[in-house]
Amino acid sequence: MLILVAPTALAEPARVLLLASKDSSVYQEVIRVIRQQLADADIQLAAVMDPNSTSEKIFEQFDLIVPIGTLATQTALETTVTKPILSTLIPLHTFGLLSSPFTTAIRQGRITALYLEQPLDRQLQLLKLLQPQVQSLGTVISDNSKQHLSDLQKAATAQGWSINAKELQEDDNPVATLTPIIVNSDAFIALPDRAVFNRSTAKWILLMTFRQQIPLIAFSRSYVEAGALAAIYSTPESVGLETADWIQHWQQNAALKLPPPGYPQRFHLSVNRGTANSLGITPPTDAELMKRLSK
Amino acid sequence: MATTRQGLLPVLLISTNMLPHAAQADVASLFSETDLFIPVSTVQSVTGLKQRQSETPAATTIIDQRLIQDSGATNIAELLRFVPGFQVYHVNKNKFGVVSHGQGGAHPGRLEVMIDGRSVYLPLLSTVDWSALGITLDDIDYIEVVRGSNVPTQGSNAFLGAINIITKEPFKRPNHKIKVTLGTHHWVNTQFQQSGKLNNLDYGLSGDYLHNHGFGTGYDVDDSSHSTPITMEDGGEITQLSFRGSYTPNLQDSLDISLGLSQGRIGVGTPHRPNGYSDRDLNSHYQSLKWQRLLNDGNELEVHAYHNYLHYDNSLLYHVAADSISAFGTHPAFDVETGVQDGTSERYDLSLKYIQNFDFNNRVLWNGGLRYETLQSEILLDSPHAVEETLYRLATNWEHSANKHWVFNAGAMLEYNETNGANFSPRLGVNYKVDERQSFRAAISRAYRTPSLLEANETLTVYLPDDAAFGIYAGEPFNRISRPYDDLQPEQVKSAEVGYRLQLPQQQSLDARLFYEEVNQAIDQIDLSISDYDNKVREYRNEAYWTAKGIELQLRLQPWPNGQLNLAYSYTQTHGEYPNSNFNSAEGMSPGHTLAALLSQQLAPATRLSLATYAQSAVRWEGAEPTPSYQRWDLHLGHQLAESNNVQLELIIQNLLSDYTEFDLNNNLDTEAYLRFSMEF
Repeated sequence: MLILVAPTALAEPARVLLLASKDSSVYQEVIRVIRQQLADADIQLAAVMDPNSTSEKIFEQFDLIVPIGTLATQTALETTVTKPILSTLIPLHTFGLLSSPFTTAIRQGRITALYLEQPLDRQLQLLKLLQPQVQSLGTVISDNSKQHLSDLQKAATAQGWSINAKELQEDDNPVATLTPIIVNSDAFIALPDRAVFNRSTAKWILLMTFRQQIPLIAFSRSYVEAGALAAIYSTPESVGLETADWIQHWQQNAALKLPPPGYPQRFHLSVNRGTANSLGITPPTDAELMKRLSK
Repeated sequence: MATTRQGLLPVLLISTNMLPHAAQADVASLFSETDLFIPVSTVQSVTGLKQRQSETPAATTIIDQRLIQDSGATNIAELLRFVPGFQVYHVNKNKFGVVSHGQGGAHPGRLEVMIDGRSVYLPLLSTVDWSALGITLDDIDYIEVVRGSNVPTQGSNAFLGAINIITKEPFKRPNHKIKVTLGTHHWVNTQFQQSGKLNNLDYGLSGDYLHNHGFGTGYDVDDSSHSTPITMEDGGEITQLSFRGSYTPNLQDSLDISLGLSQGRIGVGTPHRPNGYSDRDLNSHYQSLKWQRLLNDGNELEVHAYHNYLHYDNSLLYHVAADSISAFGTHPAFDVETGVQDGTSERYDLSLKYIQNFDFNNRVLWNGGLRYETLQSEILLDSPHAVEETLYRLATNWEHSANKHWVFNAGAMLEYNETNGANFSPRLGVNYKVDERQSFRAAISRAYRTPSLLEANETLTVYLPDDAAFGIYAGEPFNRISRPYDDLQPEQVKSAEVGYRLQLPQQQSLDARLFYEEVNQAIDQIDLSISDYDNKVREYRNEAYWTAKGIELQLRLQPWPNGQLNLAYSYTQTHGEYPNSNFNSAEGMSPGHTLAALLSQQLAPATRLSLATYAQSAVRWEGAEPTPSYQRWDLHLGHQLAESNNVQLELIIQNLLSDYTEFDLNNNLDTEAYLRFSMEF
């Protein structure tokens, strides 16, 4: 008879492995911030910068595996079945795909993720603060972002808004697909989806929303710099800070259970005031927006 | 690879297991963190198609607003120092030369320079007037530079490279902004910007006034003991006004209107002859209209029409004393006009561009156009009548993405004018993308530069006064200084390059390029014997040739948090000849090493410090005296006094250490300091 013994709080310092997807500056920054935040904690950290150099035997030495990024998460999920995994710096949909065989472990608090994206209701709240008159919201999706659409519909309904959405296939011409969406919407939200936001579609969306004079809410700072009205997003630093929080909470949890996958509390904000000016919008200051979004 | 850090556990690597094969998903195809943290920067100037820098058939440099601000540049030409392989120099205080791989003079003309796709090349002097482009530094969104011949896309003037200055769209400009800069040499520069909306028209308006004194005191090249100091009268005063409007009547159409004018006066002359400076009055304006349409099938159409007008007024009288020409015995004194930078040129250009997306892997661009140019200059052409030229052009580029690794570009330009007939300039490029970050590039091209209107028609003649004292020679040519050559042919360049590019997060990148350029039939002025006052006459002939090969490196790095390093370096070896010149040598006219490096650090949220160094090997530019190698250090300190209204105060110090000379004798750059204040409201 196999008796499953629930893990208990650790008597010794917790040993945590930070596994980077690549030895480059984004992942180095996340690790640096985690190390800095946990410097005084009773936690011993180790970092591996190449997922290919790990193995189950290495994972055995640790109490918690923290894969940083998509490749590291895939490696961790394929390598260990016993160690708890806290995936970070990973998009929601990607984590969902990679972890689909492990739903039980997720329910039991042995596998979790801190998503890279910001929660949709926070993004819609930002839009409402910038453009209170919005009634209908447009977007385009692909097969990869259908999950996003149902979450978006829930968040929009909570605001009392309607959604205009259409699926954009690879062979579709973006102008024909985007035109009815943009013409019939008060605002447009860009959902993170590589199939949709390749080089040409992103350009059409920027151009057409600008011509239609509707605000575009994006998911990255570079999109805002290219002309989108605003975005809230995570940075390697904010991801590092939040991951460190999650590690500490895990350590302090008597049952060593990980929380369910979730969005970050921290975020950065970028507003393109030139675009706002052109749209006739006078946005509050960044500090005021941050304060209201943080409530 | 396991690393240990202080306070971290050592990791025992027991084995390096291979990963299990059965991946649940192809990770490379999934949306990942790399999509958000690696910027998708594209350039358009290389082929006319918007392409990632890893997919273009030529090396590119982007100079963005961050670099412009950190550099503390006080003029637009100086920004081109950050392009590997380019040299920038003051010809006079307000006159600049920008060249690629050397071979420059007072009026270099082998680079195409455009503003939002409108060429600003001047037929009048076969060059670009950098101090009168009609835009301000703040108008610039970014600058795209194509390193290497870009004739296949942009035509004849892009013989050795192309610079496209992209101005900010109206919505990117502040509502109101003023900027004042005060500096040494009586430097006063005031600028304003204003943007707004009129119905469906977004517009931006900017103005610029510049006043400065010249380089100071110089000595004639023959005055080796420096016994007679001469004031270099190359200061100036220029006023510029520009307007940009974007009109979007519907979702698929947009109209872009640009207007600008420049007026002023600068002192020009040959620096090693400071006694020969004169004022050159400027009056120029331009108009540009661009219509872009997104077609229902996802293709794009663009029609662009523009007009450039330039008038220079330049007078420098050379006094011939009475009875000084022995052949005529007794004769009255008279003045000879030697101010040659005088005349009027106009250009009308119309182009039609069509981009066709066949499928996800194939795009084709077609760009046809015609250009009509006139040049009128009584002194340069020895005639009150204008000369004119009509040039027809057709360019194409086919981009084929074979798979996620291989991209091919095949392009060509066909140009035709009545004088030189048709010239065909093709280019083939192949890019191999190792992954999202690394790519290799190889390209070959052949290109032609048709002679400019001036090179094809210059006729400088000195006439005797119509006075009986000169007998049968009264009113007749006394000295033919230059005349046109009927069989002047286009210059040719064959080039080859291999390049490597590494793109890193947070806009960091490394770009390395090995290049080879072989220029033949290069146009040079040679002396021929005739019977007149000095028994010689100059003609532009296809006499010179050279090969240039070397390496260019470009680095953009964040070495530590809040720090940024920009570096541009090139090493060039040149061999060739100007057979009929006593002074010009291809090797001598190409500095071996050129370096620009800028280190910036955010000291506090509102304070940013930058330190730049520029270095160049010794060189002798065409028509100038040799100048030694130099290294210059600049400092820029910027502080935001108030976040609301973006009130900024900047201190700029150029050339912190020893003096150095640029382009020619007497262009001595000593330490210059500027204080700049700006605010938005």
